[in-house]
Amino acid sequence: MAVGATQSIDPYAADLALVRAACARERPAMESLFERLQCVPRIIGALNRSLGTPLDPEEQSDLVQDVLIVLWKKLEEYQGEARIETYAYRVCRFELLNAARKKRRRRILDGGDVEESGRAVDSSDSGQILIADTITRGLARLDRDESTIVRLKHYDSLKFDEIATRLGLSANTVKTRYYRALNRLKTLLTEAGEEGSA
Amino acid sequence: MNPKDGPHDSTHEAWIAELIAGERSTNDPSVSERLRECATCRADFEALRSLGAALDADADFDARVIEQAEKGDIAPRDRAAFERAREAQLSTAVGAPSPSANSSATPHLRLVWVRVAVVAALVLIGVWFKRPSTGVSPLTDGQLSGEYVLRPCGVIDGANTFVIEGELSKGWKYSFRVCPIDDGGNMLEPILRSPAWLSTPRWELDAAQAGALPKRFRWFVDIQDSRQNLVKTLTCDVELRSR
Repeated sequence: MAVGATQSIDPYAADLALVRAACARERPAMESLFERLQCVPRIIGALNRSLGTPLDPEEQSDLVQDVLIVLWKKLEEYQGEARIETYAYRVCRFELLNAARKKRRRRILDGGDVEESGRAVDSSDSGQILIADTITRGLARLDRDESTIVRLKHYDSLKFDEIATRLGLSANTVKTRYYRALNRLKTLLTEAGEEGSA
Repeated sequence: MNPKDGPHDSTHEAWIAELIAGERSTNDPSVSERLRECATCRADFEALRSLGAALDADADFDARVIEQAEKGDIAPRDRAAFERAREAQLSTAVGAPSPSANSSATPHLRLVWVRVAVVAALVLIGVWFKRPSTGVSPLTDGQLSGEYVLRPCGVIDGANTFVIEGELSKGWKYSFRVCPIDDGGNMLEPILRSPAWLSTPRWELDAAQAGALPKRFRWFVDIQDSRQNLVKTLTCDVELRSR
């Protein structure tokens, strides 16, 4: 290498390489990955607090373990489209909302916490948890390409040109896919709303 | 192309996308003119604008949570759960522990580990000299107390046999290990492991292994399904009162 030359390392590519090595059960990679995944209990704790503590401490620690197991199972699917911590955050969020929803449903089925109107009363049944849950489920039902573009646009605040570079697509293709993704997401959310109110 | 008369194809979609994503301003006179004159563009924009705003608000929520997560501490119970999952996965690693893992250990941790190894060796020697002359004698001092960390959790029917009870599927395999817990409540590296993946949820220690059990320890059981996926890790903290 020439003197003074700099070598830029794409952090996304580095993360993908790390995950692939961990998938191959290479111990150093697994250890490094677990260092990174120490964010999981922090994220779950913060998410649970932010959503009104739908899970008690025991359920929360169970979820930490479950999320780590899910993450390891999903590692094969990781394609480096997000940093490891971001990827972990999404899994944490998805799983926490799932656990909260199941718990809420259980309570309703058990007949507890129900007002005369029949609507479940739950301190965690806040507007935020419903919005987050609805959007999370909607995004999960989009095609992978579509949800990736929507996430990169809104959650990673990238410009269309940057998304195009990241995904190896033309900017116009990214824009049209984004447009179609939003339309599909809107339809999914509308359907979910109708099912929920039925 | 006159937008209001033009086809609402991919060009239209890209234009609306820029508008929703904030990469094109509605204050731009050409934009406001097009929205005013083209009912399709206007309807499309109106239909998607609130969804775009909801996604932005949700992203803001995530940003706040991540900020809190970076500042927040990990609850001890959550840390223990993390360590269990970590241990379970690392037990499936290929090859020996990495040099980097050893070199990254703090001198204090290494000192603790050395002390534990010395104590374990002394206990082993003691058990060897005290052993009965015939047969393998299971320890009789296995009065157990402690907390079941996970549910459903196994029970130990003596200090020399680990058994899991619960809803267990046919074809699952089990791997056991024992980690000492020091006086400060810190879990140390495993001192005992079952030979391999066992086909029954039971691991019986020999006398030397039973003698090596420290006063306080946590035993782990990794459960693997027939496709070699980790199903669950169960743990149980145990304190041997007579030690």
